[in-house]
Amino acid sequence: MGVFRKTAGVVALLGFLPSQARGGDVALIVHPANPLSDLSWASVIKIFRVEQQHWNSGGRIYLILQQFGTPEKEIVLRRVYRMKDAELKQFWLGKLFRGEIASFPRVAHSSADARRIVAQAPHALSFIDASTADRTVKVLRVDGRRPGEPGYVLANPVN
Amino acid sequence: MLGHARAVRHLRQGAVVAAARLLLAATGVTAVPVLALAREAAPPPIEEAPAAPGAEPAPGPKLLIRGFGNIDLLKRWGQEPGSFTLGQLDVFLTSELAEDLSVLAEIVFEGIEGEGEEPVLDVERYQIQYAPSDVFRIALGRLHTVLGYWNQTYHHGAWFQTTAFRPVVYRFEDEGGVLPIHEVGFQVFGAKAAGPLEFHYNLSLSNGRGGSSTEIQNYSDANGSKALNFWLNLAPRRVPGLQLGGVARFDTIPAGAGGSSPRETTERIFGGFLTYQQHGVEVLSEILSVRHEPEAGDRFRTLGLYAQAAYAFGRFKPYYRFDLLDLAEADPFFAATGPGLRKHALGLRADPWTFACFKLEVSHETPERAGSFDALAVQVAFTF
Repeated sequence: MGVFRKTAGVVALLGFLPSQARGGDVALIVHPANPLSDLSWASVIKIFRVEQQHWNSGGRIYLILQQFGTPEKEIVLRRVYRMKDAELKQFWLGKLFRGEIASFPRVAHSSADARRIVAQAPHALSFIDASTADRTVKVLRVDGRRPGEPGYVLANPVN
Repeated sequence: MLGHARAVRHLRQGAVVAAARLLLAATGVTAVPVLALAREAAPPPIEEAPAAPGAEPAPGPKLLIRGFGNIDLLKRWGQEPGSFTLGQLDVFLTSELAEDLSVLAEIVFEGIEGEGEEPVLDVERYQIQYAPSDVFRIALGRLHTVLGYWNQTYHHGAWFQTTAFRPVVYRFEDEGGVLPIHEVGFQVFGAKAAGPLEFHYNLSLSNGRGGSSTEIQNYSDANGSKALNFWLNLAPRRVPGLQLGGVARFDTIPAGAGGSSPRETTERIFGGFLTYQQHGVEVLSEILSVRHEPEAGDRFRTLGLYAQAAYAFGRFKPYYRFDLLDLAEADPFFAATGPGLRKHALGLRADPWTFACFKLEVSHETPERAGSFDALAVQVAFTF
């Protein structure tokens, strides 16, 4: 009976994970209460560049980045920002100086840290290693595709 | 012995950083600027300050402080001896009071030509901004007038701009400029995507210009007539990096003292801009026309434009800019403004560090009714 319960629990948990998630793909995550389930790639770029600062459903987007050096941050730098880390620092300073933002985005130290923050903040958006997603957050589709699916735009190129 | 000295130095650095962290945690000021004290360990500017163990959150909003500056070496052959020149020392402050409410202030220490060797202090921007959505935002206070592209993009930070200097048409009011670079009032602005285009708009209502081209009406409006400014920017989605737009501004300038117009003057400013910045390519171009019609008097038109091109090769960015200022010298409002001129500038910007750069610029200037001359500028610009 105990073994059955454990197996059922694992199966139930897997149901919440991205289908065929590959370790190293980057998953965009929001709070489970966020009504959004799919973002266009153009919207992803606008949100991460804070050209869009509010959800269409209302509320300011609470963007959480990861610190320099994580594989997820590298993929986001390359695919979303198309910048090196030094250029991103200059980018944020420019945003601040032009009054487009009043503070820098919060930085999580790891995927686990980002997931923990998003799970507690209804308007948050962040990115994590897709293999670390759990039921405390919602993984978004990008242009209709989930992490691990062919053609997913934030796939890890080494997979 | 050497190792001992290094160890002591590292210990001192560590103590300074630790003390700074404790101080910042106590005051609520973000640790970003001070953490940069740590040699070889400058953190990213977006890192949040770690809270000191046991420290309670400071009451009140956090204050973020940044500095921008530049120091120049200038030589104008046949004009003046070569000089080291302190550029603007810009203290930039910002704070989030609430999710949709923030304050921004920009205080600059600068030298004013003809006003001695002591720097003066100017509050360049001082505004509170309410941003409930991306389509509607409102800023109130002393703001940079949204006239085209340059003025609200680079503000007072030479480090942000590719070139050593602002375009001639965008010179500040106290440097002989012809445009109302600053305004006191409010701006409503926002952005909205519609089909293949993204629209950015800015509408402002402000005190308008004072009785002379250097006067900004910070505390009172001499004639009660408010200046209206309309600005629109279109960005085609299919061509990332491309922006084009225009401005129309309407003001009634009060009669001024001294050499300024003895009567009220109607001012109309119209302008257009086209910029492209993508894949290391930078093309900026703007044209602005300032028309003055004093009551029962003559009409004057001043035209300014610039075109700038640059391309980034890694950390190096060569550039060229052409400036033209066709100044209506008979316009009494511009009595204290320098002559019109043409200027060609060729330069190289190098970014060996993330937060500091060098610029080397040679230029050839031809002021109206005066001999042309060459100039050299070496600039180090930085943020801290």
